[in-house]
Amino acid sequence: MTGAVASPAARRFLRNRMAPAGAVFLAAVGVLALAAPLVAGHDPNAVDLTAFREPPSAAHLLGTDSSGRDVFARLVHAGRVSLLVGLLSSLAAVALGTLLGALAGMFGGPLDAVVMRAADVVLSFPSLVVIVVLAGVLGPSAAMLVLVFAACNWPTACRVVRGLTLSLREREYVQAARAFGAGRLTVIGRHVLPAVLPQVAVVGTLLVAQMILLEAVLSFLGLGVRPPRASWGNMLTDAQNLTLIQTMPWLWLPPGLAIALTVLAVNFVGDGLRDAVDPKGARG
Amino acid sequence: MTPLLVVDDLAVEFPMEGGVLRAVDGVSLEVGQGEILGVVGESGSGKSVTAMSVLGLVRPPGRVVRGSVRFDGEDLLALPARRLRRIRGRRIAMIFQDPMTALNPVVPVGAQIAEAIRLHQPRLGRAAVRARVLELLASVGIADPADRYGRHPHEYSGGMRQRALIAMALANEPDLLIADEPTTALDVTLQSQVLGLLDTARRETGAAAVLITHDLGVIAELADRVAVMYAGRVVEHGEVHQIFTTPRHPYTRGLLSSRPGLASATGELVPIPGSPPDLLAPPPGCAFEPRCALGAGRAACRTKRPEPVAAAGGHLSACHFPGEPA
Amino acid sequence: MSEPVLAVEGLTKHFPIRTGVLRRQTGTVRAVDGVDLALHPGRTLGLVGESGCGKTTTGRLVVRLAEPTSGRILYGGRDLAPMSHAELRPLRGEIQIVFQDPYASLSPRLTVHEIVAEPLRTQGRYRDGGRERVGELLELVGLSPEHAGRYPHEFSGGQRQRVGIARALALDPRVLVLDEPVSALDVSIQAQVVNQLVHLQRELGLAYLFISHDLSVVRHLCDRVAIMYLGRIVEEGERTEIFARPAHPYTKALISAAPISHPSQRGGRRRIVLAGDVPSPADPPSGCGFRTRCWKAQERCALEEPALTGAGHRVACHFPEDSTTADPGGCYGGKRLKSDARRPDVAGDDDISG
Repeated sequence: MTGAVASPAARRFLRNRMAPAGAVFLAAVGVLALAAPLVAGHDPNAVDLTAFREPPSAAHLLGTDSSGRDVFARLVHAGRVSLLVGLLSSLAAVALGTLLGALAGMFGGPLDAVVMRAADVVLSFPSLVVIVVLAGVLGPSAAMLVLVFAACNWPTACRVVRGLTLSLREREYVQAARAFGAGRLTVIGRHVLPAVLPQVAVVGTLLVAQMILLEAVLSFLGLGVRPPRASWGNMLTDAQNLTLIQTMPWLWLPPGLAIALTVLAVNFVGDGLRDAVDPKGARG
Repeated sequence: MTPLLVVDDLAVEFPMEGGVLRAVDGVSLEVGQGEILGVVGESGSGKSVTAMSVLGLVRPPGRVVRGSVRFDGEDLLALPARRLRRIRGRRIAMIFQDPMTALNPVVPVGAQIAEAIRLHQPRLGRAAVRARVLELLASVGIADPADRYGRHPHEYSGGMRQRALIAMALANEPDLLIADEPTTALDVTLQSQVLGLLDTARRETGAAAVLITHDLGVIAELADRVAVMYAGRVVEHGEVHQIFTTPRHPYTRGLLSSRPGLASATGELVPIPGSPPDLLAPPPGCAFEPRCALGAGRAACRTKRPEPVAAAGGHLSACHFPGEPA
Repeated sequence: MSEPVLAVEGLTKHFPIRTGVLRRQTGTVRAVDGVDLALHPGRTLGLVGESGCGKTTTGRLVVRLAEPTSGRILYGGRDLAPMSHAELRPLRGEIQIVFQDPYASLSPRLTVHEIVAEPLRTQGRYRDGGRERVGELLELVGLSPEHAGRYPHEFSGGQRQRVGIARALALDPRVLVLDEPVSALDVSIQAQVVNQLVHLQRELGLAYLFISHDLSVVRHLCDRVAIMYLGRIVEEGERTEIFARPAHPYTKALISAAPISHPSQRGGRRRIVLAGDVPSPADPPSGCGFRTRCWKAQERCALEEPALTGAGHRVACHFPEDSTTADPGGCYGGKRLKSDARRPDVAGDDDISG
């Protein structure tokens, strides 16, 4: 995007107080996750049975869990998994949805009908149930989560992009391109995709938050990322015990806060992007 | 006789991302009783903003920063909102460019006109209001008003909607009509109908009107006097024949010569070169100087803003070298 | 007269009306209903009519942005109407279109250079000398090639319209469809673009189809004029003929309604005010489409559709205005129908100042 066009949008993004704060927080979480092996200080999977459920100390910043593993080390390593699953599944869902939406909007007719009915079907499925079943069939893993999440969440982007494509298709500059012989795929590549990108980015960002949350839920239930690999969701498994919740907050508070704050931050960024992209609609 | 409406040294500003946009910059106008003042200008000339400020309808963050608007002796800009509302719609009525957005799509047209009447004449009985609406619809040439009364805007054609809006504007027999591009959205045959209607309304009710348009044809058709606006200022102000026959400002002359006339011979058109100035960074001297053949390079034009100067017959023009042939 | 570079015969576009859940077709909008036109090199045909008359759809059909329902588009000895998009592709560049809205017709995300280069790239002609060609094109339409790196929003409406024209010229067209190219522009800018179009035509020998509702621009620019009403051409002829001796009542009404250019002409001409509204193209009247608003309509007009007849100056009317007595005062000729609404309100008392 051009500097001249982007700058008012950037200014609108910055004017929304929470969005830049969210972005800073996410950047910090991202850096921590990327640099996990460097900052962790401990092997996240190293079991130390002599020191389990120890409160925070100099040696273990956030204490140790039920197997004596360092909670801080697990937290930052889990961040890698959670963020990766969230980003990748959102990216896959949005990419698939954008492609299908653009094709449906541009070609119309039977293709449009098939794609949109498929989107309706996917949206009307209780996706959590589908995911639980698929997780059972395919076996729990991070890759499975990404695939299943993408398969269940493409319709949102698809609908947005189809709508935008329908209106772009009638735009005179697209008509002009058709008039000098540009095919529909060329038009999609040259005019539709760049034009829908901002809106798609908003949908994608908000989806990341949902995906992180969903990953946490499934991993917590044992259907997602399986131990010993850490994810924020499966770290919460310890919190199933009421005594532990009351007496040992370091076991569940860090992953719980990580999930809550990250999801919140992503949503703030998404809202800020929406303000930036569509200054009229957002506040209403 | 004192004029009905006197706008004096009006200035309206809009804070923008790149600075302050002065949309109207020292505009003075007068409209006499029963007179039609044509305000002509291109997009961005400030003609619509001027009209909006007369009604106190400048949308924030835009605001009037200077000047006064006296209507029948009262300063409208100083009036409390409630008093202004009572004048608006009753004594001053507005006709907008787009008849579709000016009507509420979910309320029957008759009921909307009835509401306009009841708002200002609350004591009128239901039957009397209805009769008045039917009379109004008939007077603007809507056939079968009894049937049309209960119909929604989407059941009206474009021309009928504009006629209904005129009926609504006339509902309370206003003293002043402000029509902002009333014919621009209409087809040629409807344009002439609507102009005819405005002319009739003026003759029958004696209402004065401010007719805002970019179309010199509309001005030629209807206006008694004309104000030509450019870049937020009135550059020429005079009686309609003066403006068309002996224009004094080079911009007015440019406008007249760039328009192919239906009746004129088809020679080459003489366009005004360039485009209007950026109002965020207006030229220091005359705003028209960069496009003006007369001005070209003269120091006065580049450095000093020309103030309106009167010639014979109250014909004002804001030019350092008025009437000088290009 | 020279051979037409492009001719349209019986061109028709019907849009289906679908209703209900099953999207069953319940009617047809006859947007364009049997139009014949011929465009000649170096000449301009004006296509005039009010909104909804089908003039824009006709333009889109000629450049095949819409699929004709029937009819022929003859260009270079071939019929473009039945061609597939692939067959059409190499011919696309030769028949180009300029749109009305200089804001919507340029992509906000591309530089002016990219916009003008787009047709060249699409047709694979950018590689040899495309950059220079874009510069030439911008100069041709009166823009500085140095501005090629800017985005459309940095230009005024008139400059944008020039960019649109440069883009349409990129592939060396022979026919240019101009769809209200100056209607969205300010008066002082309109003249710049109109003059530019005149120059380009002289220089490049282009054939123009100039679609407009603005009679004064049409009169200034066009050699021939076709008047459209409800999807059909009702009158067609040389400009001077049409304006001096309009034969169809609708043409007459249209010309009488056009704005005057000087206040001294006030009251100086009869204004024919048409009764009622344009009928819906989904449910056109029987016989002559104009009869519901025509002050000359008789029984025959409801029964029989008038054909576009005549040589040179063609008119589709059973009771055309007599060219020798071009007096609208005589426009009540023939038996008047009983409805009063059919009678025009005639204002003023002199003749139409032509």
